[in-house]
Amino acid sequence: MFIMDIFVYSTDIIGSRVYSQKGRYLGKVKDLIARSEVLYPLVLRFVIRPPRFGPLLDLPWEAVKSLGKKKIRLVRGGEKKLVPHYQDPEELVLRLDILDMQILDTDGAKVVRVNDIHLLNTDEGMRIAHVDVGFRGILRRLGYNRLADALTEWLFSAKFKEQLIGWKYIVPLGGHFSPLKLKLSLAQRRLAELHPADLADIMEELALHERQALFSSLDVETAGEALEEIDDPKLQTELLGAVDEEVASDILEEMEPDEATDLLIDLPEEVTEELVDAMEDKERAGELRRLMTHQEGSAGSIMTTEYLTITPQATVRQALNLIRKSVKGVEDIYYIYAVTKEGKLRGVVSIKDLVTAKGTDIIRKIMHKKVISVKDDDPVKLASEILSKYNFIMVPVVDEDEHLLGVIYWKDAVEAVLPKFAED
Amino acid sequence: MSDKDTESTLQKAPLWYKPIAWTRSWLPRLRGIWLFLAVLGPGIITSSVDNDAGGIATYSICGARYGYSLLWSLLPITIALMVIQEMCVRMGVVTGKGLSDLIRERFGVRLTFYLLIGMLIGNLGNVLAEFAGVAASMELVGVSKYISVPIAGVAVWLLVIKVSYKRVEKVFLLACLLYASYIISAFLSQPDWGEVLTSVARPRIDWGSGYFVMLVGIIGTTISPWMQFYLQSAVVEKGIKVDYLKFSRLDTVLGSFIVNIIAFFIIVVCAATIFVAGLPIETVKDAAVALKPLAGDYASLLYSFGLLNASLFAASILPLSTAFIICEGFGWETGVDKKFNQAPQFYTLYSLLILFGVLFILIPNLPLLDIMFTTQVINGILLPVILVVMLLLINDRRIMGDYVNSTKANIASYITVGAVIAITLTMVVLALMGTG
Repeated sequence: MFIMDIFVYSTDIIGSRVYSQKGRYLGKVKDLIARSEVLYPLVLRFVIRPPRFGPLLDLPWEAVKSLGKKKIRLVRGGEKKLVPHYQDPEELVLRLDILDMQILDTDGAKVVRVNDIHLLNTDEGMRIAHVDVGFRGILRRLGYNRLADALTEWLFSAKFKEQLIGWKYIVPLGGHFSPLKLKLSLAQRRLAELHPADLADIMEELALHERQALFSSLDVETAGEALEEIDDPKLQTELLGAVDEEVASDILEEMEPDEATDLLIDLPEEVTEELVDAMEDKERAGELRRLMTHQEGSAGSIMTTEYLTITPQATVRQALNLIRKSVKGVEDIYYIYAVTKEGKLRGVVSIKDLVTAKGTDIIRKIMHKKVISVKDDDPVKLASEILSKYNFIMVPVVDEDEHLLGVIYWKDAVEAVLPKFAED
Repeated sequence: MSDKDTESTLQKAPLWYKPIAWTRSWLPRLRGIWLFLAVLGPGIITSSVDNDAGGIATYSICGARYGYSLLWSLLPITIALMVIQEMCVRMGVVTGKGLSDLIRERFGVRLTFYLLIGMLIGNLGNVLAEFAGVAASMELVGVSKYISVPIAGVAVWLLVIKVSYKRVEKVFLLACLLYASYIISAFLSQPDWGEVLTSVARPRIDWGSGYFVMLVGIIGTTISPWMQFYLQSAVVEKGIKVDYLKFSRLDTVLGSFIVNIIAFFIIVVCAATIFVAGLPIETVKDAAVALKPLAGDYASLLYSFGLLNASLFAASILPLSTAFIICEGFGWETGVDKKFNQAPQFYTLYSLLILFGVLFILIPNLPLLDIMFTTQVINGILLPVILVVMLLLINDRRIMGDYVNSTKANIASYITVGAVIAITLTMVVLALMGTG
């Protein structure tokens, strides 16, 4: 195989005229088909539009002898290898699936449109290496790149730069495509690398079906995290509605209880019931049910039930061990609450207290006994005032009889009091 | 039932069919009036913008020159508008994408580029017309255009960038109730309703070339290229689901009627007064001035107030949506919530459109009519291309799945599009020959 350059643009190949070895004109290249499941997809076939309205044909890579400027020549007898055009759902069809479509650039965490595809010639054949998302790509396709270069060179002594993104950072989204088509594990790994907040922004920006496709391709944990970061309840429910009911239930189970509750409250009652019933972790389900009974605007409605407790009789060492074991399950650990067997709040110790105390000290000795807390039916505003007055990161929520029910994080209180702030 | 549905569509579907998009959600649906209110808006807003300064001018001149004789045309125009807008709405709902996105993805960068450049120029003409509308309506109450137009330009720019377009939209939508002022004006001008009805029921078509040019003008101002893009984006923005498509269709039907009802009354006002009195008019300003002695101060004042509102509304939507459409087609960042350096192309386009709109009005001796005329011709050339592109898109199974046009819908849309194209191209030819 003879190819002119190491790198070729897909649009330089599309439209090329195809000739047999003897120089007979066979048609024009309409599209390229590549294998999707590998890291750098390998071009397998060319789609050929024969002269005079015949049905489309596929030209396998092996039949090509040389690839030149807008011209493809076949090996001897190569024209016999032409087969009727077919599409395998596992394969990438460059023009249908990538070119001019939107893709997710996981490196820059944003959605961009593909202006061209950059192909690399290797020993095994041609592989997709980059996509071009710059204005230069548009100019080249319009045939204005020389003109534009001359103009910008003269005016600003600069050129439009190439903007290439490596294929390994890409999740295709557009057209007839969903991330599902890029071998799930490959796409999922790339998506999981994104910060959930970025993922949320991206989904807010995407078209309806693309964001639903993207969302349903996320693993349950990432989906839950991304959902927490979306501020628009309408969008949250829409995305949740895009996956199967069982998956939706799993996602809610993964989410922070307070965020999950917010979402559940927005859903119709019968759906909420079904979703909570379907949860495997019955304890979590019970927690969510309890959280949902709190009135909107009350401290109870924004509290989370993830916090650490210990009996006042325990030692500092036991407390530290508890922290080590619980790191995974709890969002942030700043304090441990000392509660009686009946669950009554008796005191609080900070991590700083624990670290500076001796391992054999008893918690009761070192804990702060005057715990500032709010009642579950107190207004949210009170909780936020307390948090800001005392500079707390979180404040515990108790019922009439001093039973500890949950904690309110500073962040959740701010979001509840200043919804505008959260949006920005 | 939903499981079965999905299964059967999947079997019918070609390989590249995207099943997720059409999977019915297990979430329960909204019902009844709430549902309708939830999807209401895009169609009505589009039609309100459609009755902009250019529209009001055309209807006024039509009434003043040809009396009631062109009223009949509003009925077929309403139907054509419905057929075309329904396609936009369906594409928006089913694909969740704007028209420029779909064109880019289906037809590639070349067609998109030239279409969008054409639309940029065409819309610049429309923006110009809106500011001319502001100038005309304010001059009627004695405010110089050197004061009113710059203020309007800065106000529109600031409102959209600093306040939030959504809020601006609500204000204007409310102000659209002022369109009722045309209805009141119509009654104040005491037309001969019997004659109005006869001319609708039994049209007497005049085969003169002037009459035909006027007809083409009315179609051109009602069915514009920009409108298709705007409507589809508005539907997408609302995030309307496929399940609610029929309500969204109702919204456009309502919108199409509103456009033409307003047009109807504007024509009636001018026909009952200016045409009957036999006064020659060339512009909207002439119309408002002529209305004063004929229909009374109130009718004239209401008329100019309606014009001002229409111009400002369209002036705040047109540049914004043009910038959106173009940036989306090229894949540039958009949104008024972004900072300038995050979306430089978007802000530059938006600001330049307003700046040129204002400047062109203010620079003395600029051949304003020629500029607007040229842009109208560009719009006239653009419209057939866009309509054909829309027909190709709506019949593409890869894009529309099971929501492609049915045979019946295709017959209706081919006839409509064919008629609109024939008429528009005639206009372009007439215009270039110098008859227009």
